[in-house]
Amino acid sequence: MAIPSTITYNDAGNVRTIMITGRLDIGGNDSVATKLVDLSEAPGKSVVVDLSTLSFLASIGIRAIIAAAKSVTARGNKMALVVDAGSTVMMSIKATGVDQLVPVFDNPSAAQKAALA
Amino acid sequence: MGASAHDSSAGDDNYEALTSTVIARPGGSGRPVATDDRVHYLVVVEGTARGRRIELGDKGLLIGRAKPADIVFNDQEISRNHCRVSLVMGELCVADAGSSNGTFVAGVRIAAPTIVAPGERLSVGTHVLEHEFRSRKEVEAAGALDTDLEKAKQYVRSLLPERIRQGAVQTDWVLQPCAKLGGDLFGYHFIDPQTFAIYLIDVTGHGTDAAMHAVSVTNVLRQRNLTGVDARDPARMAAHLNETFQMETHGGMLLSLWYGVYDLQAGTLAYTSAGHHAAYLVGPGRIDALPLETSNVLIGMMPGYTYRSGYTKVPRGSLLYVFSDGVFEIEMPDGNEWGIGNFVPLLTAPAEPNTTESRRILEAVKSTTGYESFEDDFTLVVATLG
Repeated sequence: MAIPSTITYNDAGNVRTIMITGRLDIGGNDSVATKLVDLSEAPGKSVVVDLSTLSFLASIGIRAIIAAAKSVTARGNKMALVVDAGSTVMMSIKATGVDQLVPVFDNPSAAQKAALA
Repeated sequence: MGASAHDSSAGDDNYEALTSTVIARPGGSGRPVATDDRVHYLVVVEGTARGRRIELGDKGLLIGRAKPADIVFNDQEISRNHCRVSLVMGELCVADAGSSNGTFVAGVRIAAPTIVAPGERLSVGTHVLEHEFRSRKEVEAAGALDTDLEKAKQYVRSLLPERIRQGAVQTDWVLQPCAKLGGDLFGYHFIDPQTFAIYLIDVTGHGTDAAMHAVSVTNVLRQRNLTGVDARDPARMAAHLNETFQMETHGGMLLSLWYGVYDLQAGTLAYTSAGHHAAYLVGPGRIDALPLETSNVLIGMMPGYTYRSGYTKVPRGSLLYVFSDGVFEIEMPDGNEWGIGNFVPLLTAPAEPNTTESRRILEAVKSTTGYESFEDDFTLVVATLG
């Protein structure tokens, strides 16, 4: 039973928060990964990517997160992730070393502070 | 001359034996029966009529050098009546028909009727046929739209190493590719007579671009004499790949790597995992599985990153299991992940006679999850370190 993934965002001040839900894998929608990179390119904004309701993160999603983080950083802004500690998504984040490139928090407010710091 | 297939009308003397083999296979009972529209095919990947796809029906097919065989190959190393392939309880089985040169499944000469798992290869004479279990729609789409993908798949398969059957270090492996063609590739070789290197990479994403990137990286790993890089040093090798294959200059591609170097004389294993989960070492007593993992980032992600390696003593006769995430990242019908926590206990289960270790585990995963094929490449390499 494939769970469709969705991507939404909201802007508040200088922070754009992008929320991805469902399952981000090869059976899901590759366009969500592409959309993540596009949305992270908001001019002048730091970015928080909220993955707290994502049930699974495969390599296609990992690649998109890294590409987004590099794009945000290249523009002089910051990016942070929100991930539930102990989740399979957190396991993927740690196994691939994404947490060594992008700071990871278990709540949105801490992530927003880091993105604006 | 190409191959030709006809309906089989011959009696099947081996049917009873085939049936017994399947029923007797541990884990075979209770597996959910596939309810989809997939069909068993044998695809010629080496020999005459390369690329030819032969559909297996309810009637068995006799492979031989001349008629009345149903599938005829003009190959002097194939006997007139060489072997028979049949579907038994939904699985593809092959039985040798008294051939002179033997019938091989996954590189092993069969002595009894044997199941050919999807992704495995059947060898007769100079011909190699790969078992595919796919829907007709998928095959038609591949034929019409994905010719390049099929070619890439064949090319990747041609790079896979021979299994090592003799000596202090022995190997066996299984790679059951997914329909989309994943970015898995692996290899192993002796750097020198006392030093054995083994590696597995998994490129992010799927399709020909991921597969071709995997080929490029593997071509570097296969070199025994890299200028300025000691292939015996896993961390240095990972760093070299990282500097060579940064994502900004390689189409945004990233990859995970597990790379190990076994010193036969010292009985030690040095290893690194770069964005890759652990490989596991199981001692001769099969008591527990030791994870071999170091905390490093994916290859291509951060230029200048300093990779770390690990090191362990290896009891002689230990088994090393190196695998891709496709063997455990399996979505169950309830939406939950099957996961590595369920996979690892399979490694210490008893070995089974008449099957290879990699195939035992593939069958165990199928039996446990109820799936015959998987959404991602299922790649598992097993090395016996003596």
